[in-house]
Amino acid sequence: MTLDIRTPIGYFFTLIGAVLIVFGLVSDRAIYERSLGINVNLWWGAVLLVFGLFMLALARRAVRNPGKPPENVS
Amino acid sequence: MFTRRATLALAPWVMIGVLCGPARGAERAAAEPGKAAAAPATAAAVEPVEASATKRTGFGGVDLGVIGLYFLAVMGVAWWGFRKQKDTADDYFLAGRGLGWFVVACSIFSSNIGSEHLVGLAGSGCTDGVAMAHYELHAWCLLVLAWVMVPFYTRSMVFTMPEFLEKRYTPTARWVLSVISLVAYVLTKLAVGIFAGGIVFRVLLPELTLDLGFTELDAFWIGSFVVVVLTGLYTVIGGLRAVAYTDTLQTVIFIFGSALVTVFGLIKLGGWQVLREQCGSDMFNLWKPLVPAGVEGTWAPVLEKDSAGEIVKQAWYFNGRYPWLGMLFCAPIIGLWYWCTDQYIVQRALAAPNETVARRGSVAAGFMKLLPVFIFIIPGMICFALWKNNKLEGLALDEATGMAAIRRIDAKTGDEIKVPLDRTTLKAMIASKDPELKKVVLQGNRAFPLMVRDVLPPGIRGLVVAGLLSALMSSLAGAFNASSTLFTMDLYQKFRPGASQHQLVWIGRVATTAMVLIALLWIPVIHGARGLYDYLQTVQGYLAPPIFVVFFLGVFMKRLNGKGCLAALIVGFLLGVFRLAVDTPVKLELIKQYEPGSFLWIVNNVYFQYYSLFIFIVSVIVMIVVSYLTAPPSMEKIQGLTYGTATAEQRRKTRESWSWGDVAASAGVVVAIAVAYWYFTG
Repeated sequence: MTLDIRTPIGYFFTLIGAVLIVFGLVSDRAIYERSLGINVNLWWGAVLLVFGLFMLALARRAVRNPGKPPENVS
Repeated sequence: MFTRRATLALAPWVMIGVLCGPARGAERAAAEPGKAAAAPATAAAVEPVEASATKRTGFGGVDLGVIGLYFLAVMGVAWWGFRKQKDTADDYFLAGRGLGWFVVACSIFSSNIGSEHLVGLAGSGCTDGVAMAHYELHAWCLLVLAWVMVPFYTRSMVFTMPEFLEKRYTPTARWVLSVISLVAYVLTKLAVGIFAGGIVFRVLLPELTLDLGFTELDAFWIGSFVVVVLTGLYTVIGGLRAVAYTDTLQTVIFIFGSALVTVFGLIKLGGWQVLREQCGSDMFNLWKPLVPAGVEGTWAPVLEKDSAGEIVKQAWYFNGRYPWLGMLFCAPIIGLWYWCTDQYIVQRALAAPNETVARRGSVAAGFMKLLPVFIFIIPGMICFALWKNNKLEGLALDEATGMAAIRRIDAKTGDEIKVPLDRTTLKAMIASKDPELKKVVLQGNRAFPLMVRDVLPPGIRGLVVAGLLSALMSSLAGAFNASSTLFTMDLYQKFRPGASQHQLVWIGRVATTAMVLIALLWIPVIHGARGLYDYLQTVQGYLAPPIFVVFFLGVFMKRLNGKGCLAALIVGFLLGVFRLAVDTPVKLELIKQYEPGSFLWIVNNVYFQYYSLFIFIVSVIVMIVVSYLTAPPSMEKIQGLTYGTATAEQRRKTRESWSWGDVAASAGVVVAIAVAYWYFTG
């Protein structure tokens, strides 16, 4: 039994992405003055969420096809 | 200075409560060997006086939440590593030799990224432009590890680098290298981790203090303590598996966090072209002249200054302003030692199950090593350009900190003079030829924290801070783990050859704990003597050349023997220690300088990269001469450990271990480096 490091990375980024998206939606617009009016929490949160889900999908695919262990799994 | 009571009883991440303004004093870190001496410490003659105001920006709940999640994730992964552990040395020190290539790559990269990048590298970008990128472009050294050294390391199945020397030469060589490495780790690498933790907390939370009744601890103390203890905890319990897997998670977090600073910095500035215009051609030039412009270069050992204290005439080998000759041809000696023969880095490649994985991991780490140019040096330069454009406050002394004047020592009279500052004077000083003056005025080491503070809003900032902590903790974990491996496998096992696997793991844990305790004892020393920290970083630079020689010549020339190896190590170390002894009184300011023109004065002034080349050449000659004057080694004993003694079977295995994909990836790293050298020409 080994750990696929993509699983914890996936969970972490999915969660952080979701937190930042929610915060980006509810936060006061004034705080984005310094980032040139760009709601960076919302956008970067979305990027992290997509990355996290992608990692989880890769990990899940590896579990479904145990015949060919991916190289970046210990 | 700026104090506010805070409680330490809370969870560690709660302590990162307010993202605050500038650190006190010009902080500079230079942990990676070579960088320390390459970026000279803040000039003793130029010191800020008077400081007052600071600017605060609230660190919101969501930031703390993100940081809290980061700590939970790291501890979760470390806990998993612990649960999978078997009670064997192989498992504790080398993760059962079962790491995948991506984990190996991330672990190598994150061990390398530490305080010198977070604080020092961005700072050098701000004051010197791309000059320090030479050290990041040493990514090619990882290709040398992958293609030259990995086959020998994998065949020998060693735990440590000194153990490889024992197999190739003699048990004495192993013993000498182990002791030297252990002492060097305690003096340098542990000190780095402490310093890093302290700096991050001091920069982010200058007001944090803890009253113990009899004494008051500042943010530096608290930060160092928290980082050392937390990292120590998972390293002691989980061994290399926990370290490597947390490293992987940390690398990804760190990259996602830091990349934003560059992107937003560039947008705020107005784009790459504006950066080029504002920084000017010199900051975009990797190819610095042997002697700076406006200075007369000589072959004779001369160092002349004018009445303003600026150098007008100088021997070319005294110039340490990143001369291309030293950076291109001498720096790699230390680079190759660090990346290819230092336990701290190579242990990760040893933990791969076979040559293929070890090689692929090293090549991938080579790609990652190119990133610091974009996530630290460029943001430092952006910070400078933003300040020049009046878009960023607090970079120069007088503005945010209220520095009213700086103090200079007049070169001619030795008297102290105070130079009052206004913005025009500041700009003139920054344009000055004296790089040290520019560094102090600019406080470049604030560059990265300033960018985080002024460019990113709450929320995402928590992710960036988690990234910074990731970099610090992974480097420290690497130092703990490497030291305990050296102690257990090279020293303890030598005295107790019959020790069981269980005992070895147990001793490994005790040794790691001892390292954590030593690190804690280091905090007051580092805290109290900043100059000492800078100075210690040069230690490795002087000890590296002979180690590099015995490893590299050892695999290329089968005729070299144990006696030659020992002679080279001893002569090389003595030359290094001699230079250290000469430098010590000057660095620690016990004496002002040696008598100009005297032998010791020349030794003290020679740029350290040229001096390391000198040690290298002497070590090579000593090793070859002594080896050829004594009996050749037994070819049977060194079978597979040199190119000349590898069997046909071993060669076939090595050939089968790489694919053309690996070659293409390596070529990609080389092309990226070549493009950087071609682009950054001013």
